[in-house]
Amino acid sequence: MPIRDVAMTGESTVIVRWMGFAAAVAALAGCASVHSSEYRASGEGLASVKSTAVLPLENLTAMPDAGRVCADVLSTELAARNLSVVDRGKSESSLSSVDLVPGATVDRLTAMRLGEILGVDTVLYGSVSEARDASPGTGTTKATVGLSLRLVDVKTGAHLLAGSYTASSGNDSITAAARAAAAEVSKAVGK
Amino acid sequence: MIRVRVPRAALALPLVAMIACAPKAKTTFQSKPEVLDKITCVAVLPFETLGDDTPGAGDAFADLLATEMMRSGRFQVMDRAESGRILAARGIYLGPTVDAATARALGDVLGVQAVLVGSVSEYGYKVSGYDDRPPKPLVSLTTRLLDVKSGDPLWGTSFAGSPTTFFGNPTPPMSVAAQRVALDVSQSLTGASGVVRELPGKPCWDAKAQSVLATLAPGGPGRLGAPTPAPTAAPTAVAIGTSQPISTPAFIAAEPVQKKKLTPAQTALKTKMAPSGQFILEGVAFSTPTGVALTPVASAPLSDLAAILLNHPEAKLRLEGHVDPTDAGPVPLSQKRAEAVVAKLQSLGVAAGQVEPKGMGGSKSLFPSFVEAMKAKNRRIEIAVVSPPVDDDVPAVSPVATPGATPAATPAVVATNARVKVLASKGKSAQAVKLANELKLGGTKVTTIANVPEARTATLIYFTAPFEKEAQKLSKLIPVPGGAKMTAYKTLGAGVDIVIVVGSDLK
Repeated sequence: MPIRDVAMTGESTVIVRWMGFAAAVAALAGCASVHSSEYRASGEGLASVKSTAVLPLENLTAMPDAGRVCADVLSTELAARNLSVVDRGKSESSLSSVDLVPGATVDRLTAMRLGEILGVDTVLYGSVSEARDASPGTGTTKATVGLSLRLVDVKTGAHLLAGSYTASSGNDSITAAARAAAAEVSKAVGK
Repeated sequence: MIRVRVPRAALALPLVAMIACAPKAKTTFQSKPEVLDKITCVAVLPFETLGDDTPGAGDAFADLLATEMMRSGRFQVMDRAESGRILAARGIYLGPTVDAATARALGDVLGVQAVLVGSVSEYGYKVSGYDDRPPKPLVSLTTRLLDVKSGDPLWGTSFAGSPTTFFGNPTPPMSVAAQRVALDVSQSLTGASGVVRELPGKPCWDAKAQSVLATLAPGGPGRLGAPTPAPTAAPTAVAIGTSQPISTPAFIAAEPVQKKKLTPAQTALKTKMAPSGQFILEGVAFSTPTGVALTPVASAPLSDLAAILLNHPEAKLRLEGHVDPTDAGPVPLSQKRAEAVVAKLQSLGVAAGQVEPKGMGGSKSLFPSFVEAMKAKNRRIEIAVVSPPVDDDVPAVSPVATPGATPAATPAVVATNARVKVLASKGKSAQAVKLANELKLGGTKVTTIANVPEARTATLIYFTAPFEKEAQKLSKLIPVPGGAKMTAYKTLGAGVDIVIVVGSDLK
């Protein structure tokens, strides 16, 4: 089998969506910055989202309950954007109906099934891959959260949104960093 | 932490170094562009996590990569959570290597045109060679796209390095670095894959996924804790939906190998392979100071090493080549020497995944380079134990002196993050892999799955004192008559809190 060896040059196209230059400056003073990369479905899908449920994120970090912390702040941010969001207690307890514990892997099919049970038209799920107080050894005090999120349309099974979000917060609060990421997501989904 | 030596010239001229001196961060191949052009429907399989930087690194990176592939608009992408769920629902458990036969069968099971497989070997902050320089995030991975029709690889890439940052920020967060690498890898794939087409919003694999969705009815799926319905397929090496047996049983972990008795020299060598151990492989030398040909004497220690690795497929070693700092081109030479040793081991039947070559250059010389004899001592092969051989007497630790009387230490808090190792006794590989996957899907951190050679009748749980409650929970969950028997241990080795030995009572 002929395999062509292609030396690809590293293209350094970087999508940095700073929340404005002002925010970047402000980040130094204690606010948060977000680095995100998003897929959004074309068409009316995202705009017509009326209700959603946020499932506890899969926890890939060493911090206990990181997935629940992030789901909490995501719920709040989305509810603040005029979306009908299922209560976090209810969405979390729905996991047991498919025999999962908070922090376990949730996939598209499971999310669709839970969406039916909860009576919503979309479900937000995903994983948290980083949750740390500060970068070790750098002397900085930035808390960082890294999320991979998916928003699935319960009826069609299509992904309306898929994104990677990394947020850093200047005040060393992991929750604040999670809130910054959540605010970014809710901009895409919210009204 | 791995210490990465940076040449002084690179410090003085970082820009020049990036262009001219630093090794290429990425190597890519592609074949059959006409096939790759037509592929729009891809499943990302759960990436393997190698090494111990970050336990969830493979999953984390696979998620980031799936997002970038979706963003590119070039592919419809099934992410690793869904491919993992579908495989589990079908009773299919992937072994460490996905080969052509497996890839062909997976296409039928998942309903996609190609599968993306990969492994992440480094994912974390690394200290550079100078202590006052901050650690930087480092990502190393390999990935390849396999055509499910032919099983052939269509595209593949290896990436190792720290992505350069925009404003010279010395330490971007790990996740930002990983996002950039994912974008880079995705662009390399889409760059190789021709034009963007209009893609439907509905997943291309939905017809296959619907039947799995049906099994996820409330109270339905047959995972731990729930009543188990008749499985759609036994976890055997048979492709779902076809009657063709798969020639290579890569779906399930390999059966325990027939062990050969070790010679005293081999046993002595094996005892050096402690968890995270590092030692010099004595007797391995090269014919010339600058060459890569092994001396005839080297064949004895290498065949000893091969014998151990053949007996212990669970063992993984890194073979580090070291040279004298005064040797010309120390890093490439040491890399070539490490590769020569690995090639020799592979020619003796050792699996490629068990031995990884690494050139260390002259950075860790043992002696000053005054005289030739000392230089010769600096030229050596060291073994770094990535995963040790599991001892036949499992686990090889001493039980708490009086089990049951007083626990070694009363835990202040109930740990919720027990790291679990699953060991399969003879003939129980499939059940062990199944159990491990079910535990993982249920949220338990399963770090290792390995085989032990002897037969065991009862399924056992070994736990360290702080994890008693977790062990009790697991004991109740494992479907064996009367629950799995529990024993407390003082220690179960680094990074392990609970060991489950799967016996013949687990069906």
